[in-house]
Amino acid sequence: MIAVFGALWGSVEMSVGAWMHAARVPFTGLFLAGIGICIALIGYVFVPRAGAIFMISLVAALLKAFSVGGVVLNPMIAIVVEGVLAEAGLALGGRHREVLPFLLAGVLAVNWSLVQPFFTQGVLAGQGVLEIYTRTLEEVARLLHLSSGMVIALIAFIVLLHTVTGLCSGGVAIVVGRQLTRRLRSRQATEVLGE
Amino acid sequence: MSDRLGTPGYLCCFVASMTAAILLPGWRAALGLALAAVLAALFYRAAFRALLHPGLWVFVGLLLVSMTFWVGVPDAHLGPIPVSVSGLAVGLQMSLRALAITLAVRGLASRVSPGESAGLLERAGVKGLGFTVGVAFNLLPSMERSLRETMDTARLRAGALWRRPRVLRLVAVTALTSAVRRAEDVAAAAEVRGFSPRRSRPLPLRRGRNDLALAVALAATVAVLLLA
Repeated sequence: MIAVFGALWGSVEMSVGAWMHAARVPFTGLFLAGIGICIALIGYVFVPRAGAIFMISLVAALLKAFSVGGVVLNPMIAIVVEGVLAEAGLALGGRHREVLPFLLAGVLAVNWSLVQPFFTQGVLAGQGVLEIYTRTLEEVARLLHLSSGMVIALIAFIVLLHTVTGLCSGGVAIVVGRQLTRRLRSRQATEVLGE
Repeated sequence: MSDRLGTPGYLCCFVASMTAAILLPGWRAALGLALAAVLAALFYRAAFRALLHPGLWVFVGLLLVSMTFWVGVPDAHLGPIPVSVSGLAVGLQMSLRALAITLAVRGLASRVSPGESAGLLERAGVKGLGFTVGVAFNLLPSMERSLRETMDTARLRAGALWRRPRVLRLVAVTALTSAVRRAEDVAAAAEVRGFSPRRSRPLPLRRGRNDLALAVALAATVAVLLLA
């Protein structure tokens, strides 16, 4: 099961992801994280044990290495960290519950696509990079005559967009997971009756 | 020369480059970049392709410009504009470190295959990953075929898919169902043959003749760089 859902996530990253990265489509990370974590959470419906989503993300990341796109390292890091954050979301939400852990896992994992560029650049250049971005943002706001309220509203909107996408991923995973379970059960019952 | 190195050798190059890049303070970060560049030139020239990526130079430019003009404390003037020479120096040191880390990471990624990465992760405690990745890789063509057939069927019955979200959901569920059933078949086949991911041996790693010698040489070099 882990192989199937890892392959699904990996194939989305290898095909759609490679194309979107190459075409420099805005919010590519958000879109791919939303779909990927939704697939992984559906996988969790079938393998409901700790570490399952992390394994799915590892498989997807290793498949991403076969991608036709040139730069695959950042997406691979993103996939694995999203898997870890989804596991954290499931643990925090209480694995025995039905809805909350899925939504929390979706929100945490999808929001990583917002943090990822700052994280990788922080690793490259050290902690000072955060100060550079803060001061650059202040400078840009001053040049464009934007009030600090508008800048904060813009950042809040982007965070909200990521959070809503995460909630949708978790919600869709619950609905599709249930539908999939029903369908597989009914087919198994038909097979038993047929025998 | 690179054909005499195995996965442990490349791993040593990565660790040595990263250690030097992260731990060497101030202008000695240039030594870290020099070490990373020498290792890349000797063992993984493909890593230099990372330097052609425009995003990296935009990042370096942002570091230098921001540190010079608005982050660093102004200590000189460029005509009427106050600039920070000390800020520029810090920006340059950060850039040297960033370039060294980029070379090290891209070098490892270019020389260690996904299979070997799975082998390394299995040795680090992620049991059964090699088998799972193998199954996943072999499932890709059948999953793609199944998805295409499902979409064709749905299109013939319901018209353009993007106009009907419900049909899209049904397509997704059908494709997932067939993928899950295929996975059950693979798992059953492996079980019948007595395979257990937990008891399987990890994927083999490529070993090179020079791995050990290189590891000793790199450990000595990094120690000298840090202590000198």
